[in-house]
Amino acid sequence: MSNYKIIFTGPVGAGKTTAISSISDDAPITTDESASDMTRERKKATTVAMDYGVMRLEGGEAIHLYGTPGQERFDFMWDILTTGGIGLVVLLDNTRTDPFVDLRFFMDSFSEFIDKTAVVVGVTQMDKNPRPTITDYHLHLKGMGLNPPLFEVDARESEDVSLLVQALLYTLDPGLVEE
Amino acid sequence: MSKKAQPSLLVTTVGMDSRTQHMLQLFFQGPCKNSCEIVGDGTATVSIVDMDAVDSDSLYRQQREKFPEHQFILLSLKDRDDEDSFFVKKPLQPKALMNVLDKVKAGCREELKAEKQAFVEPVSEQVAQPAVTKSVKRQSKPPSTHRSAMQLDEKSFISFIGALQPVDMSDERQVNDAHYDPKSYLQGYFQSACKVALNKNQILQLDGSWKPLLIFPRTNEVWLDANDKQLQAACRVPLKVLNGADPALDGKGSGMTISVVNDVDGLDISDKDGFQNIDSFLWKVSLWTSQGRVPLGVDLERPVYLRHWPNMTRLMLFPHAMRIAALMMEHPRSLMEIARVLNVPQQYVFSFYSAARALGVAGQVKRQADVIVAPEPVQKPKKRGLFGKILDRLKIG
Repeated sequence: MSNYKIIFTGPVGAGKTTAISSISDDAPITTDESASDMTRERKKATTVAMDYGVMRLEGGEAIHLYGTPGQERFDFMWDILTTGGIGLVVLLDNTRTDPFVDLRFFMDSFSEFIDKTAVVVGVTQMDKNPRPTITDYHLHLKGMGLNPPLFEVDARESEDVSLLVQALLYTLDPGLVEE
Repeated sequence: MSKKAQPSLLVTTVGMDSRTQHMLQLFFQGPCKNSCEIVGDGTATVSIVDMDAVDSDSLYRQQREKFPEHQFILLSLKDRDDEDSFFVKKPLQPKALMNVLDKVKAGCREELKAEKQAFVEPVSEQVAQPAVTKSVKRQSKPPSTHRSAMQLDEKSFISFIGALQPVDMSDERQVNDAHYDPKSYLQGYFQSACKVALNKNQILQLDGSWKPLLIFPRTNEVWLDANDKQLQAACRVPLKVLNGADPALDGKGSGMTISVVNDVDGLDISDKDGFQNIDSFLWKVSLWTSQGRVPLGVDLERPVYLRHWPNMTRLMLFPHAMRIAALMMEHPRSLMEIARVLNVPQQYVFSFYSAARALGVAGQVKRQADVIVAPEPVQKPKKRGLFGKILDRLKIG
């Protein structure tokens, strides 16, 4: 049985747990605990280990969906998580003070993994805060030498999360067709 | 309309392009349960005339002279009150058309004449009304802006672009037919007004022969008092036809004016459903107008590029759009080559390019030499089988 993964990362409250839930076949395993210090203001509970979900495929294979912890101090886990990963989904919260700092942080942190695979970016909470705009994000990414798929996303909407993951797959293989 | 099988009504169409005819055929096969059929002039008993077509009045007159025994159903965006014919206002409402067809079948022409106004969607009065009056302030952001993408399946998409044949590049007529001029339709003016509003960061109002359009650059939104069906119908009609009934224009000029809106608080835009994201709006306007064609001046054999991915979760998605975007992001390739590499109908690629260009994220390289490196053929990755299964799972889920 294959052991492929898709990794979801992003700051606290960007919707990683919700996004995984929206496409996972099983109720995702989360290891949330009460938030302390800097995360408390943004979310009552935060993910200190990881989220886990699974998509079961035809023929018995499965794709494992891992969400990285929201707090930067757990970044040692990221190397372990990305092993065997087929791509990265970065979720950003548009209501945060400076989402571009988050963007750069996660792109830099996972740069090796991104170089080997592919990345897509989903921006959440744009209904609450429409700025920065999608165009602003593209300009920032361009400055970083990156040009990945970047969509406005509601992590509760499985359709949005599905399209984000589809874009990841098509980026890896534009010739891809359904089986 | 009765669900019981009815004897077939034989219909011919006048002034209708192949796409509209195809949509009508689908409508007859689906909601009408094959009780109507499109046939040639000789065997038909009913003529359906698109009165928004070029020279429609003359076509209608000729058809009447040729087939005086036919019953006539006239379709138009503008109200009509012709003697001896039935009228259904566009955008076509299935219920209205089915009711008219039922009446035609029953031969109750007189009865229908009295009732036909009831089938007409009350759109016309809105056209004449000024959009901007003092009243309600906009209180909150409308939900429509953040709706998830509407996804069209193959059948739905073909029904509005039509089942077009692949373009033979050696046939000049076919190449010409694959092009359209956005400036001959509302699209050109919508696009241009949005660009000006965004560049100048000014709220603008576009007025013309159709409904006024308000553009709000700060929130990236437009406001239009029309639903998608009405907008789709209007997008397909050339401006000169839309302007045709305006005696002041006499068929000349665009009839479109643009003005700066200074009194934002006084705008009467209480209908929150009228708000749409600018990109979502321009994307679908372009899809509906292009109908599987590309803007004039686009060389089908010169490479095109995609500056960045469009915001696909908030756009009207159609089959293969994601694949086309992904391939265009790899390298500039010609539209013909993209269709060939992905093995998709050319019209899907043309539609995507037209819509992406309307958003300003796609363009054509100036010279062939601008593509320094020849695009590499798409390699089949080792994990294609696995990725395909994931795709299946995502699309089913």
